[in-house]
Amino acid sequence: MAQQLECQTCGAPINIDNQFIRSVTCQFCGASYLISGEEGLEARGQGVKLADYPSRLNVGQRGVIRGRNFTVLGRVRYAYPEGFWEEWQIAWDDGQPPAWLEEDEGYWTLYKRERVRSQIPAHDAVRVGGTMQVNNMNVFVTEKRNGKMVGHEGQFSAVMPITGDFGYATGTADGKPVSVTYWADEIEVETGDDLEPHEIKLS
Amino acid sequence: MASQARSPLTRLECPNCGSPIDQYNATTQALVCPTCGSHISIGVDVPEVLSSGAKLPKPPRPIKLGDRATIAQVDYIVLGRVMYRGVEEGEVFTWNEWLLGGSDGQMLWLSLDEKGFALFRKLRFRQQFNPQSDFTLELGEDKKAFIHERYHASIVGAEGELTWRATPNEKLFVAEGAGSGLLYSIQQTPEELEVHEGRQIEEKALATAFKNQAWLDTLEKFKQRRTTYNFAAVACVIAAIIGLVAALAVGGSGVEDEPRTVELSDNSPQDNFSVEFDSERPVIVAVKLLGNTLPANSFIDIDVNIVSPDGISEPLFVQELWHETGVDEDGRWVETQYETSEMFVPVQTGTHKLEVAYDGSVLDDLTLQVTIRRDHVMPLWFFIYTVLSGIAAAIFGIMASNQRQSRT
Repeated sequence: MAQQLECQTCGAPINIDNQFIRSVTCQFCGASYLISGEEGLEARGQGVKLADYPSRLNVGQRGVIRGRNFTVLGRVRYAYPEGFWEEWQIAWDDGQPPAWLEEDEGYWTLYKRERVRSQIPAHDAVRVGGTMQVNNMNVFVTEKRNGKMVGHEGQFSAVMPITGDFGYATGTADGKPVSVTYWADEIEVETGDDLEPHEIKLS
Repeated sequence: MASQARSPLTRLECPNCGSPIDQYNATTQALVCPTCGSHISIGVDVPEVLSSGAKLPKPPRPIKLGDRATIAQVDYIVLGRVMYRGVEEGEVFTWNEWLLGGSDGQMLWLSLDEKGFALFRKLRFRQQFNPQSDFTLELGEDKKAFIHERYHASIVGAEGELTWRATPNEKLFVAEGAGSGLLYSIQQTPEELEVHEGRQIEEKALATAFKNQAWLDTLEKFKQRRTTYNFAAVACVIAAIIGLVAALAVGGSGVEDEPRTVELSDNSPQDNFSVEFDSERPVIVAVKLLGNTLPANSFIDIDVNIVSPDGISEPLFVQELWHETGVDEDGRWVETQYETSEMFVPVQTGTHKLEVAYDGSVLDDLTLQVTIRRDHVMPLWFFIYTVLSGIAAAIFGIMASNQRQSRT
C-alpha cells in the first residue's frame, strides 16, 4: 500500500511504494530521509541530485524479468576512476524483498543481498586473479577497485549513504557473479544472476 | 544503405575545443570528440577531458560510426571503435574493435585482426584463471578453451562512444584461446580481469549484414583477382614441372656415333679423326680412359680441340683424369675420374677434325674411347624454363596470398 509523505525541505510529496523501503530521496530537491517511526521521515541531509542521464530505465518504470513483474524504485550511480555504473532498486510485485539491477558497460546483473555469515577478507588483502572465501563460496576475484557514490534518487530498501567512498571486489563463484562492497562501517555481500538484455522487458 | 540518420540522446560540448558531440547510447561512459580527438568522460559530474588524443587512422574496412548491421536477426549500430597495438616476441601489430549496440540492448565487440573478423561478447569466468600462465580456461559443462597466445597490448586510440573510459596508451595483458569452435579473449589490467567469447564471421557475411554493396563489390573483385592469381600460380607450377621433366628427359638425348679408340703414347701424344656434322646442333664429346689405370695420386690432362672445315681450330676442353687415395677416420679411400665430356655447338656443317692429346707425364701410353653424340637437346634450356616458371608461380602465389590477407 503506497504511503504519501511530504518533503521537509521543499514540501513536495514523497511516495513510499514498498514495505521494505528504508530510505528515500526527494525527487525535486534531493533531500535524503530515513523511513522511521510515526513521523515517517527522518532527515539525513542533502544528497547529490543525479543529472538526467539517458538510460534504458527510469524511476517508476515497470517491467518484467523472467516472468516477474517489477517497478523501479530508485537509482544509484557509483563511479570509479575508469568509469561508472548504475544500480536500480527494483520492487517485485510478488512481495519478495527488492533486488538490485546493475547496469555496467551494457551488461545487466540482478543482485540480491546476502547476509554475511563468515569473515570476509579485507579489501587490501584481495587480489585480482586470486580467490577469496565469501559465505562458503570460493570467489574468483576479477575486479577490485575503489569507488564513490555519485548520487541517487528514489526509494531504497537500504539506508543509502548520501556520499562516500568505498572499496569493492567482484568475481564469480561457479559462474555466478558475487560482489563485496567495503563501506567504512559495513561490508555488503551480494550474489547475482547475469541477465541478457532481452530478459528485461519494459512496459 | 548501411548508414542512416539517427537521433542523438543528448548533445555535449567538447570541453577541449567546444565542438558539439552527440551521444547516441545510454550506457556510454566516454566520448571521443570527432573534431579534436579528445577523450571525454561523461556520466559523473561535468564532462572532463581524459586525454587529448590524436584522431584515429582510417579504419581498415568500410565500417563507420553510425553504420547499421543486422546480425542473427538483431539490429546493431556502430557506436565506437578502439584501435589496439600488441607486441609479441618483438613483433608489433595492431587490431581494431568496433563497439556494436544492439536493438535488444546487447553490446558486442567486432574485432578485426590478421585472422579476420570475430564477434565477441562478455562472459563470466567459471573458475580461477591466470592469463599469464594457465593453458586451459574452464568454461563449465566440461568445456574448455586452450590458450594459444599471450601478449602485451595498449590502446592506440578510439573514436565514437565507449562503455568504459579508454585512454590512449592504456596498457593491458591479453591471452587468446579457442575451444568448441569459439574464440576466447582474456584481458588483464591491475584492477580487472575480463573474458570475452567470440565467433568468427566471414567478411562477406559481415558486409552483407551491413548491407554495404560497395564493400561486397570490393570483396568480389578481390576474390576474382585471387582466383586469377591462384590459377596463374598453378599454371606456372605445372609449367615448371613439365620443364623439369623435360630437362631430365633430354639429358641423354641425341644420336651416338660408334665409339672410336684413340691410342696415345710418349712418342705420339696427339691423334685426330674426322667427324661429319650436317647440322649446327649441340654435340657432346665424351672421353673415357680404357685399360690403363692411373697410378695412385696422379693425374693426366686430356686436351681436345675441334678444327672446323675452314681450318680454324678451337679448344674444346682441357680436363683432368685422376686417381686419388688417402686415409681418414673411416680407413683408406680411393677416388678416380677416368672419363669426362663437354658439349659444343658446331658453327659450320661439313667435315671437322677432332684432335685429342695428353700431357704424357704419368703414363707412357694410354687408350682413350671417344664418343660423339650429335643432335643433342640441351637440358639447360629446360632448367632455365623451370626456374622462371617456378619464380612466376611464387610471385603469383604471393599476390594471391596478399589478396587474401588484405581482405580477411
